[in-house]
Amino acid sequence: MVAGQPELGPGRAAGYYSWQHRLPAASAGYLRWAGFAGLFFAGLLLGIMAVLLGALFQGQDLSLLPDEMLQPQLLRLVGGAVIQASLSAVLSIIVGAGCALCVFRRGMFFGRSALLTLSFLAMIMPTTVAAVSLLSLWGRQGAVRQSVNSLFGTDLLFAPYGLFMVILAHMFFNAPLVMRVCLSVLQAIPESQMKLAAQLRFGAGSYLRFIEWPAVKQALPSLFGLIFLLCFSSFSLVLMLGGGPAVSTLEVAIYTALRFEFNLPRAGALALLQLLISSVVILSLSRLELQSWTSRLDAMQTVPRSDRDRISVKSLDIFVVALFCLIVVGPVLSLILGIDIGGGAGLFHRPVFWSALFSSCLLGLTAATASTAAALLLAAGRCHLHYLDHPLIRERGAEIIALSVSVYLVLPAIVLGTASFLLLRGIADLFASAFWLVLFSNTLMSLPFAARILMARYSAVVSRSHRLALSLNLRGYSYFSRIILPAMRHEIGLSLGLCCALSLGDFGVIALFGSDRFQTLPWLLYQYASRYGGPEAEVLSLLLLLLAVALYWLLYKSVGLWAERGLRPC
Amino acid sequence: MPRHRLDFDLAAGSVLLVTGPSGIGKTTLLNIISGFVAPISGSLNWEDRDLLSQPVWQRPVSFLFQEGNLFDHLSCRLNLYLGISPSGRVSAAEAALVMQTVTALGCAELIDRMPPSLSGGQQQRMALARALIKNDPLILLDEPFSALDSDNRQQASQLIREIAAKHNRAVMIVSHEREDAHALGADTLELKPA
Repeated sequence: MVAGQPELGPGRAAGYYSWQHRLPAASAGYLRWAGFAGLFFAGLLLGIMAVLLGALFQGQDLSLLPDEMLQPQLLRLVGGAVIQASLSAVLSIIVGAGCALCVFRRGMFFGRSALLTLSFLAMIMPTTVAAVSLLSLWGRQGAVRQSVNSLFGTDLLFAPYGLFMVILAHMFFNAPLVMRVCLSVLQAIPESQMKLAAQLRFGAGSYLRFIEWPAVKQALPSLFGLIFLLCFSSFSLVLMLGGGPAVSTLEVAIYTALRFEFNLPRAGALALLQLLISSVVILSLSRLELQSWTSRLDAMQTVPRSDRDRISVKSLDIFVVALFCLIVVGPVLSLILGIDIGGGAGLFHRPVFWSALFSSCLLGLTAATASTAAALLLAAGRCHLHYLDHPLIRERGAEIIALSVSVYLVLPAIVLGTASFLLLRGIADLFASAFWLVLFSNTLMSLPFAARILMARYSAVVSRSHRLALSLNLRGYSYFSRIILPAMRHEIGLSLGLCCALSLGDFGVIALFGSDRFQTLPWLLYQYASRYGGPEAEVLSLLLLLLAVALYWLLYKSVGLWAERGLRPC
Repeated sequence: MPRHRLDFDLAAGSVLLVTGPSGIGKTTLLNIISGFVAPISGSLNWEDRDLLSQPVWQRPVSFLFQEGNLFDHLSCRLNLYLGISPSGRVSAAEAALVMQTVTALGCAELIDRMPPSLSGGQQQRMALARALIKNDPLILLDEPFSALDSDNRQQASQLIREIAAKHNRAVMIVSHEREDAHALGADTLELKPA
């Protein structure tokens, strides 16, 4: 036995285990503080959720709820939404996974970086902008429809508003998500397996059957569940492209009940039903691990493949990537190329535009900062609880923190807005407090995304660095600013940028509380697109898209620079 | 980038041990022969065939890496069948050949197990069985003894010697240990810093 090392016999195993978790006394104070702060904050988040749930139940005659929920009209609506969400999920997976397989097979090719960048663009694009972009390509005056009309003399395409359009819009958002997840899974295939396949003279079919499909299929159930949930609780896309009550979701029904019918009990009942279904899906999803879709995809396999140069395979790859581009890149290109800036310039003379621009920027930046800070606190809490020497707090605490984040996944923005409305209607002037309500909602809505990006990385950084940091007497704020922050700059920047873009483009709670007194750009865009349409909506769409990209990029890059500056000697 | 000039011949039925310090390029040499890395210049021939102009899948080479020689999610049987046909479908005669080979290597009872349930040595035997079935005249082994204790090292050396002699294969082995040459009855190619 080496001197100084504990003997790892059966009698010493327990002691060795606790040595791994126990920290020197010098560090315990700071770590314990961070752990308990995170736990306290998680409790606060769960408390807010409980209050919101209570508001939904408040004023409901619970005995009437089953009857309310079993109305044929409502069952039809839910059935239609299930079909729409299932179709959207399946088609997104076919197109996204197909594209990932082709991109993986081709390795490096002209336009690869652009394709991956554009696939990320769809993630940060406001839904209202996507709706206008899709209409500019597939709508009545859209480029594709016009081409088909002039070619065949009649309109052979699907209706410009309705189920197909909604599914297409959902594919626009979700096929890139599937593509990124599947590509990161494929790129994680060990190089030795690819070398083995090359030696064994695999063709495209053998690669798919023995290597690619076994890797990709693990990611598909969780992707299907997530996309189903997103499409089932879709709001703005269905509102703008559904074309009426025939294609609807519970979200849209809640919006109609609250905004137009002012039927509060019905809105509450619908919100509860939505919550119930989302919870079931989320619970089923919790058993499946969702792969990260924010991984860097720059690295690629360089092992030669025997199937790459076959004409049939090349043709298939070109077809699939072109189809993906038509669905994902086509609408954005169509919007940019077809825009009538002169016709839409009147937008800049409207004071409401400048007011909405200011509100949106303020909301985006504030909500991004709040949700990233909250996610960092929760990440620190979860990580440092793990190092406490009390097993009960360690285990239950981690569960509470995980629950406090995931619980907001089941709460769509419209449900949150409805709950806030029911909770505060007698207490405050809701339309005057719209900014705070939207900020609150946007922060909570983006929290699960921020937490997902930050938590795993925080734990990895701490587990790798804390002993070395302690030996160098780096503790507390010094440890955070000198070690954790620089190591997490990519993730913090990503979280800030993503949350800002999500918040900037959100058309959830604002749909309920937007008014002449308070507007955001997505709200204004919805007004223009649904009432006036035309060039002003298109110019506003492009501006909103550029703003989302600019703020995302600015935050992502500036955090990196700031963190690097923090590393310089004082 | 380090540059080396190498000139050597390898006969069918012989074993060549490649040794040298870490980072000298032993594995790179195997990668060049198998086609995963292109040399800056030079020529590489096997029985008058120019190998450098051929892609990986056309070279008469079986390369056994340090690890990851079997697909973990496929049974050993299917892993072996892939050595005969990339579709994994084999005739009855080919299936019998597979059984004959694994029996000769003493791992017939493991053939329906999944690779992760086998020890490192058993996995190496399965990979060797596939190399034999694949019938490539040149077998490249990258550090095949690195995870073995002295008894297993002895057995593996004997197996490699038998494979070379009985099946008339040329075997090229990368190892840190020059002493392995004796156990293998091998010639030695020592790479030294330029």
